[in-house]
Amino acid sequence: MSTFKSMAISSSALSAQRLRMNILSTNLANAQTTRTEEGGPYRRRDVVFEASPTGNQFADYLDGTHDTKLSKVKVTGIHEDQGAPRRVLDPSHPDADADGYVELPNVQVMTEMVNMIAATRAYEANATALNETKQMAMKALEIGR
Amino acid sequence: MSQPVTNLLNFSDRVNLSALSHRMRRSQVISSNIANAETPGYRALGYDFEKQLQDVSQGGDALPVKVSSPKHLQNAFTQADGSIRPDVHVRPTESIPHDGNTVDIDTEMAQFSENQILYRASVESLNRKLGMLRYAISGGR
Repeated sequence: MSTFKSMAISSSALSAQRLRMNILSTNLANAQTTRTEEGGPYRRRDVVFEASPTGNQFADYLDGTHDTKLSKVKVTGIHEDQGAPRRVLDPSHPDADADGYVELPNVQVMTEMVNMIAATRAYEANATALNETKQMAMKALEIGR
Repeated sequence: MSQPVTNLLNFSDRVNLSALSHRMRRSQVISSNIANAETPGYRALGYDFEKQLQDVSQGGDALPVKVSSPKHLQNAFTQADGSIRPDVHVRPTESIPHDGNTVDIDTEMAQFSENQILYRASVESLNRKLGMLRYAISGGR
């Protein structure tokens, strides 16, 4: 049914933005991490969004409303930023190299915060869309009451 | 009464009913736009049915069917129940930003609200009509 299709679209975006929020939190949490499993400092990560067609059900063909333009959003990958690590002079640090420099993650706290705000706003927009669709469906149930 | 029962709902009610399903469809389209507000390369979609519905409800020839014989079907189908099939189209834009995404979140949210309000208006209008019928059925009591 069409109501549930728009709710499915909105909820796909909700989970995508939530995943993005998790990744951003990981970046912030690891802003000072110098040791990782792969060796070297932590590298900041970011999500890659992709529009994925909603797909059609039998009812869509019956209504003549089938098409491939409507899209959910999908996280296709988590991209690792290959930017150079920050080099900070701190000879007392256990991970300092021979010259006394420590390689810190390429995480910019400001950038991460700004991205977090963007993710929150996008989440809110989609939550609003979901609610409005729900209200439309509830209103339709009132027909003839 | 000479009118058949099916005419309890008159033409404007059926236009209203038709508007309901088109508004629901538009809410899908806007949901898709909002969901993909940050997807690179996504083009904002639009769904315009008002003009077509208006033409149909005014008895205009919105979707003229070409006929080569007077025995061919005329526009009867679209005229009878206001059943039109507009396409979901990529909304034209003046410029395409760097990331190829043409969604303007403010426009989308505004359109969503507008769509919802008009949907409620249609429901309300149908309810009034049904209320009048009920009033008539109960003999004005």
